[in-house]
Amino acid sequence: MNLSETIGPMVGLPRPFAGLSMNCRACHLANEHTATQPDFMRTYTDFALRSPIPHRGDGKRTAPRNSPPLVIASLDRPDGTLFHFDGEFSTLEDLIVGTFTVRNFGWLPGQKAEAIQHIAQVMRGDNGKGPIATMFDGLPYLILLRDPILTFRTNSACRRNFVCSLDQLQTKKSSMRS
Amino acid sequence: MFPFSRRHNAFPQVVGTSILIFTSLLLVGCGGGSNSPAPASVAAIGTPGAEGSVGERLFVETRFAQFVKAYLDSGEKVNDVLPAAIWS
Repeated sequence: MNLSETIGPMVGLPRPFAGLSMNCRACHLANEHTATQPDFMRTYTDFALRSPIPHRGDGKRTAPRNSPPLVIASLDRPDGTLFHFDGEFSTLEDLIVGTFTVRNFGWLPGQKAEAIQHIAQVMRGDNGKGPIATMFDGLPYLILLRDPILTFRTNSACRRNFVCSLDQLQTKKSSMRS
Repeated sequence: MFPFSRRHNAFPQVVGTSILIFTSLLLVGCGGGSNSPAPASVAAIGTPGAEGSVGERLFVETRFAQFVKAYLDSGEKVNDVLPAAIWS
């Protein structure tokens, strides 16, 4: 996970955010490697035949496919949008939930509720002083997502209750299982 | 059917022209003077660039991974930086 997988002679370029664990950008690359390889610009895709995933002791170290490019991926299409090469998701919302809570981020089958709880814990506890936050505005997530100055053009109730919604989603999933 | 609907159908050009006029007046009215009120409220239209900025931050957030969950379970805190020694 500390290296960007490639095919050909440039195998093993230093991966962005190495040492900080998995994130979306680990596989959806842009200009990470252009400093040393000028023609290695990516359209938010990677170099791998199959994208690497975190080690969990189950023998799996890659996803079934590589990462689809994100540029123009969300354009409206006559028959609606489909995401991932196998059409796994029809909305970006489903794609994001279905990526943050599954094997790509190290979560095993059956750990979705745990993943959601963990994400909520991170968002609640974030103080905005971590290495990622300081690359941006240095605001804790709770302020970022609740401050009326930073209003998103999305459903306001959803925004205000974002973290609460994670809990509700988890409760709903738990009740569905029982 | 309400008369508004018939009237709208009967005079579409009038309605269209009226909208143009009111829009023009509105724009002219908003354009004058340095003491004019702030543009449309942030609450109504959103902070320009906020979605992209926050989205970008979530896009590179590394703490949502199960690896970090295991780290927190060992007694560490959300804002602690992963020591290089535990990363392989």
